[in-house]
Amino acid sequence: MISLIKSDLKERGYSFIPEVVEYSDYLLLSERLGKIICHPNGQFVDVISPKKRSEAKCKSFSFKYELSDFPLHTDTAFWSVPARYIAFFSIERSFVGTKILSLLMLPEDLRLRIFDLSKKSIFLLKTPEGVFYRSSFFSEVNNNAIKFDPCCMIAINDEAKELEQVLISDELTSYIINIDWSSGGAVFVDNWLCLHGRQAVDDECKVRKLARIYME
Amino acid sequence: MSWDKESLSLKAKYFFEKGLKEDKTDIAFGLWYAMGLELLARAAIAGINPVLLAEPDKDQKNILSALGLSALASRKSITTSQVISLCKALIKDFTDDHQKIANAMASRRNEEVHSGSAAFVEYPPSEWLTNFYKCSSVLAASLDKDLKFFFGDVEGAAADKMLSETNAKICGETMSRIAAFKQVFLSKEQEEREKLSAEAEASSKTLSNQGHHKVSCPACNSIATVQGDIYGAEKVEHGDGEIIVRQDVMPNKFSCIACGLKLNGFGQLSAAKLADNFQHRINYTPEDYYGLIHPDDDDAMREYAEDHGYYHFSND
Repeated sequence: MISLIKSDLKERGYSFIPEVVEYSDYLLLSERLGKIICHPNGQFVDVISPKKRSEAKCKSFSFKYELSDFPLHTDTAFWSVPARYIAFFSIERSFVGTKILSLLMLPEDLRLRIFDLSKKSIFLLKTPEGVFYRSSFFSEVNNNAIKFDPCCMIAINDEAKELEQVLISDELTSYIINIDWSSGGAVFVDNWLCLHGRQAVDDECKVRKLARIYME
Repeated sequence: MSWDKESLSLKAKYFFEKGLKEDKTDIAFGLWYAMGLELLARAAIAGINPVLLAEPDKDQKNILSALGLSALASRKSITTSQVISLCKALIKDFTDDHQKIANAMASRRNEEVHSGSAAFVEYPPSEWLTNFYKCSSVLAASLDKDLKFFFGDVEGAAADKMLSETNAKICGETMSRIAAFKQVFLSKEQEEREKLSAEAEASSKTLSNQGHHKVSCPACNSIATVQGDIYGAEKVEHGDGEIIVRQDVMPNKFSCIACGLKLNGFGQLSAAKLADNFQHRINYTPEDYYGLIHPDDDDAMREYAEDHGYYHFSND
């Protein structure tokens, strides 16, 4: 199964494995995919669930967006190098899906346009250490990648603003994959080449609970 | 305070972008560029080691902070001239010449910010822009970047062209040429010189309506003209009942009718200090610019309808 996940990640940027229903299998696959790294909260496995602002941590997505759609973003964009892979596992099944936009699945001209804008973009990146000038583009180990997080990145030049517009435009809607958690499963995401988000939550779906692991 | 290479580089790029949104004749252009150059130099040093930017002190507080070994509330950086000296010491291709150029820009920036003088009015781009790009090119290369990264595709390409066309040989040849034409002009009788200058001035008025730009001839001081290539995006301004469209022109041809001096290429014009960018300015009425048609203009309406496949109904 790990070779299937790696193959999917290489070709598509993500791998959804609905057959993974045991938490232990999820942990094992995550360990085999890459070195597990700590979340900003100090935990190796984080459990996330929909929250209203009053329950959410300051500056988190839940604080800003509550139960609405979470926009497409990169996790740990405020790190100098974001986590490479994210593994999600459905602890409590839900109809509230995870949205994934894979740059690998876009038409070439659109992907090149996004990378071109990203290379020329300048954002102000808010981190616990301060506010810094950062590009959306980065390159690690011969991999070109982008990072984007509207919660902590403020577009300040024309290319950054245009990139933001492209990433929220209807032009990309048809390329967004929706991971359906109603039957459980696990999804592995290349956080350097995919952006992800969450569909809006209605009160009945508040039981949604996902485990999340970051890997190098 | 951040001394990391990426933040300093991108801030430099941002400042250059701000400068490029200004008219090149505006003091703001020079000021943004000068501030950006300082950041670029600091980024180049940070790329070697950010600790080099820490101001030395007897308790090593700034160095310790740069190393992440102490949480100093506000750490102090070395001065710009120290940064430039470090560039000379540590960056292989950063020569004495580059050091002088960078120090000159820093000095103008200081004068602009710390005094009531209009430092960049007395220091037009023709006197510093090519050298500025020469200096920026070396600093950018030390960061594995090029001029297009920092100045955008259009200005970066223009800067590369400026640098390739400007060198000492061209400069020497151009100055000799100017001296030769000056000598010939001065050998003419005064009456003839005055007549030629008057004709040149009259001609320049006509030519300036055809997109030429008036300048003073470096050989005979008569009014001559330059032409050039348009580059960059149009700048559109909505005035009172008019639309003003400006576009930057990089000069590459000079001609003086009075003494006959002709110069070609940015390199020759730069050597003669005639390479200041100028702007074409065209004033439009809103009707012309937007292609508006008056509804009472039957002929125009009919033509528009035919061109766009509409049926034009009239009560006539």
